[in-house]
Amino acid sequence: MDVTAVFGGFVFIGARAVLVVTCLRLAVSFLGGRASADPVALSGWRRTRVTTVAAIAAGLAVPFVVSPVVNAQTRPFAWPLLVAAAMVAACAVVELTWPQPTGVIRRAGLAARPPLPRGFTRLPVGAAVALVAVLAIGPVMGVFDRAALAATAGTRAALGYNPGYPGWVQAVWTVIGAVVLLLVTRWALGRIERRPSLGVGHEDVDAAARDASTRRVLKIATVAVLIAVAAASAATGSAMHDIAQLLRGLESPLAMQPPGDWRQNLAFGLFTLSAVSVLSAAVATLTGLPQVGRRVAPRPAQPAMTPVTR
Amino acid sequence: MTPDLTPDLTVDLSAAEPPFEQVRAQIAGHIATGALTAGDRLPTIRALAADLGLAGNTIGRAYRELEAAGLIETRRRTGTVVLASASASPVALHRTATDLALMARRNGLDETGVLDLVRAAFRQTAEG
Repeated sequence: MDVTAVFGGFVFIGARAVLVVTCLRLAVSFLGGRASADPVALSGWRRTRVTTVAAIAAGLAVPFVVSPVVNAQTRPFAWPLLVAAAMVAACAVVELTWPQPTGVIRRAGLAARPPLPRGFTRLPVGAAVALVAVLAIGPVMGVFDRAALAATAGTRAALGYNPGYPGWVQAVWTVIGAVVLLLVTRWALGRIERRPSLGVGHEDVDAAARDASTRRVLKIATVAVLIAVAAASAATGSAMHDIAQLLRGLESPLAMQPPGDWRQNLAFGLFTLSAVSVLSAAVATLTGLPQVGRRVAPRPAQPAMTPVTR
Repeated sequence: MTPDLTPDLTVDLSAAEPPFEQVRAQIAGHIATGALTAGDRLPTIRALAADLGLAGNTIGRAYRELEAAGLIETRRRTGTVVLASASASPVALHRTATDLALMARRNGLDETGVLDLVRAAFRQTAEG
């Protein structure tokens, strides 16, 4: 059984499930209430929804654009990363459509932008480190397992054995996907920071819209990396479990019995990592975004300082 | 610095004063009046430039001059913050400056005229 292909399908289904859940969340948010009558708040409310729709459309368009080169069957771990990169890029493009400052008199508040939410920045970084570590296990373990098989069943059997680990080709494609996602996410976060504020007197709407945009981008990136970790660790753990069983079946002198079988224990550790990653991705998907442009009363503008005219 | 009390900037692109000087003078003014206190974070150069629709170099020059004057400092982790040494003017001095500005308006004197008077007063007190 080609384990990688099986988990490729798992990733494909997982990525689609995230998209479906995001669509459902969008529908719920549309039905959930009415937008504020304030034109600036209404504009923010509309744009946050346009961003979500654009992200979903970009995610759905990816299969038609990149499938000839990268698809869920041949590159299962890079797939969610590239889908997420397209979704994040769509979010960044919508950020460019917010109104720019015009006129001779320009006003701006002196409040610093809020820092990035810590949980949403640490989780994807930790997941990316875990992804690289898991991808490195396969090629290294492949060498060990062939040596163990050669010692047990002869060189010919070892050469004919396909361990089913994600190999170097999968690892390189996945790292390429992760780097693309990292670069696009950094660009999108920069666009969100540089998006002009909505003006003095609308700080609440501006802060909520910026927070929602930041969390949306980080959430998409986080979920994609977690899905890749879940798939890679499940595939690696499954292959490791198989070789442990095979060595035991061949009554190899290198085979160990549970609970002292390190291959078996490492495989269960990877299965646990896979389950935790899927759970974390589900929690990140279901966590709400800040409401933008609802029940926000416009605040009176503060008196402007007289421009310096020395 | 609470959101409700966030000071703001107004830049007049048609004024004779260059925009970087308007930004610098208003931030310095906010620090002098106590609207910005030690440790308050200022927006990044890119963020403020985007909010005002100005070039990053314009805001960068204003920030550099404020740093040179010892009013703010840019740190890698915390961003640009108001320095503790950049203390607000005494309350009495602030009140007197407000009274002077009101009196000048009543007498039809513009900002330049008032600043000329203040500079002259500084010279007189230094000579005396």
